Amino acid sequence: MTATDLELLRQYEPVIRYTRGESFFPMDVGLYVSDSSLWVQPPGRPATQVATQGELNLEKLAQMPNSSPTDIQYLKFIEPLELREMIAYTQEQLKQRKITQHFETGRGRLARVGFISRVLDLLFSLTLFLRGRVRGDTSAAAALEYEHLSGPNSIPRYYGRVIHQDGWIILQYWFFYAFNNWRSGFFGVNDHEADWEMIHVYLYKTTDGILKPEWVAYALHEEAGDNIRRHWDDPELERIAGHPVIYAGAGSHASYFSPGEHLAELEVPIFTPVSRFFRRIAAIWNRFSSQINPANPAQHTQEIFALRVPFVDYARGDGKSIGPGQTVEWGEPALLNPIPEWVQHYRGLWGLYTKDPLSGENAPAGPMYNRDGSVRRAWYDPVGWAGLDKVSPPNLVLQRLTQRKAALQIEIAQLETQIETQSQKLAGLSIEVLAIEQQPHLKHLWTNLRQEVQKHSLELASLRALLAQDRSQMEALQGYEERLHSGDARIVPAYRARSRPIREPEMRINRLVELWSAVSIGILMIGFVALMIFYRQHFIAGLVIMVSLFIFLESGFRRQLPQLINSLTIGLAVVALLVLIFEFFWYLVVLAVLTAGGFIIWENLRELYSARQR
Amino acid sequence: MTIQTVQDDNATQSQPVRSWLVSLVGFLLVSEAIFLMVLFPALILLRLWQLPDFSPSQLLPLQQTLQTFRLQLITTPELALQARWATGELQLLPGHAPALIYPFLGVTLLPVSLFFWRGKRYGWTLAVLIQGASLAIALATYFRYEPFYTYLLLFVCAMMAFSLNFHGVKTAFFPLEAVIKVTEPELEG
Repeated sequence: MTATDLELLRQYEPVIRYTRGESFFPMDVGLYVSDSSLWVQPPGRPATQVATQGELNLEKLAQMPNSSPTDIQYLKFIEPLELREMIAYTQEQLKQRKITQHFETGRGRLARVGFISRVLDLLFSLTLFLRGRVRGDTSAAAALEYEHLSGPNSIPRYYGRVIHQDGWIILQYWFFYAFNNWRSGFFGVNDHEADWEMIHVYLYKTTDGILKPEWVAYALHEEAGDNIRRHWDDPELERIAGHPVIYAGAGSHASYFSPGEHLAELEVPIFTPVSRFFRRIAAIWNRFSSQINPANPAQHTQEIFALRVPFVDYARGDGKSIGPGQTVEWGEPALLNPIPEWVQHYRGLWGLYTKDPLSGENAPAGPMYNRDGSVRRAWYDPVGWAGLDKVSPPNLVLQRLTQRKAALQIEIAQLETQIETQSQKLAGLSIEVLAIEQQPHLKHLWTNLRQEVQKHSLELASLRALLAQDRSQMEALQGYEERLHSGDARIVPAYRARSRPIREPEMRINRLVELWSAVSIGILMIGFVALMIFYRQHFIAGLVIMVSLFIFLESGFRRQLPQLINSLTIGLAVVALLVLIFEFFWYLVVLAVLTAGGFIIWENLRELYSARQR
Repeated sequence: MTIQTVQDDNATQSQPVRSWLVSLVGFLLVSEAIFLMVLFPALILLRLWQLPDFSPSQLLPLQQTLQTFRLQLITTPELALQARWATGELQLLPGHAPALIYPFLGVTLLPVSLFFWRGKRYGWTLAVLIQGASLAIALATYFRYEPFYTYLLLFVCAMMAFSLNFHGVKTAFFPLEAVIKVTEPELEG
């Protein structure tokens, strides 16, 4: 690590804006490790403690021997709270509520999605009882422990790394949080001990040797690719005195470019084939009926048949702000060049392992590794992780263009030679065919030669097509080169922006809809039980009526009644057509044949008539 | 990258223009309304026609004849219609009784066709609703009794349901919403 690298990291270090009510902020991992114990979980047996709380530090953690491949090594930060501590914490929370430092939920998480998604939400919540999960009081205990560790005037810290890849200079910023309380604190998906978040700033060197920022990419849950990055000049990317601004999700700490309430949807894997099937059916119907939004043909079906559990990631940015020029500034960054031993050698989890098969409640591994011990893509391929492997740094565009042109020129020259040779050969063969055409004793040779001529003719045609294509490509490259020299060319690829925060008009959900969304699933379940107990003889009919009534009400609340009526009517019309086809199949076949016959006669007579007129 | 919000051509019009297609479907709706209204009387006439030794004069006076129609519950849950007059008696087949509802649907469809023709959204919605109701009753009747008239009903109502969903018809009532158009090629993630 040179001083220049450190300066670079400081020059572009981000500003992070949190949501009011956030309890955890980027901290020193050394403090966290010194307050944690180390455990090993063998499969099917109780976990064993390898190091007690207070015994560990980063050096010792790096020196811990690796467990066997089937065992899971993890740190444990929190011990359950005693009742007295829990009461004290609750009192503190109530005090904060009075001075409006607490988090206020947004409008209608459940009201924003459909009936099926709400049922899935219920099922997902119920699975928490079966899956391993972080205990309810752990979040409170973690908040107390974090406060105790960091003290009232804690200095936040980040971990920085500078990487050189494919002509880019990448500044990698890592932020460590003691706890992710998205579920318990902000009605999100999960809770887990320890949380590593990260962003990248991509720089390139100008011809004057100055380093300029070109792209930024923010880690967002499990996403990767083009959607997670923005151009440095993108209006969506907020910057304060040259520092990119991150809006951190409350509890989840996921990084967003814009403030607001972001709808994060969790697709339930077992329902994926079902939703895919319905989407295909809907796509066919939409194509048939031309009822497609031309700008986004997939949108309609995706909205209807999305069997996903809705969660809101609150990234409002109305709470604490950390970074240059903010009320709290960054402390001295810790550098990850060269890679410290604790990063490289400790492959275990950085917090409690809850045995959750979906992994959402298990703590993450360190900055370098995934939970299974493999190296993170963002670590070894930061360019590809943000989809920049197909984008050249601006300083290399011209150079790469010249290289491509040279390669294409060679290809063109080779093709020209091949065509010349092939053309001469074909001409010779054609003359031979002509020469022996009238010689019956050479008939066999004549047939073979004719086949040869046809084969070579086809080959020559495809070579000429390839040459024409290469020449067009060369022209395009030359045109692009000229535009690059004149400064008219675009070197930044366009990209499809991912969903933005939910806009205000979409959030105008009235109280009745919210209330209905909150209680409907419960009422349905009570109705189900009531039918079972009191009207068992009419159970099926009762269930159909009840579900129909719910669907009807739901559509009414969502102002989708016309769509519902239309869909039902179309469904009935399709059934009606099937009935008619079943009943009158042979009549229809006869009718079709007669129609076809009549049409052919008409067409032929028309042709005949027009020929006579000429 | 230039991003602009554009409105579909139809969406800019505050009052939808009545295209020839909307007019045609409106005319078909009126025809369907008449068909639904005359369906039940036609069934009765057909049944009367099939009676041996029947002459129209037997039904006179008409008022008295109409008063004698009775909706009867023959066997649970089958409904049937019975008519008595001075010199005769008519028992309609069980599958004919549900057809009693179509004149009411036909009468409702007449003003709905007018709303439809005038470009009102609720006109379209109600027209679709009536097709749905007619189809549901016709299908239920078909699966239970298979009376011959349901085939005609199923055909007419299914065709009307599809024609109400023609792109040109539907967008006249529900213009496509404003869409975001990205004018430069998009790069997939």
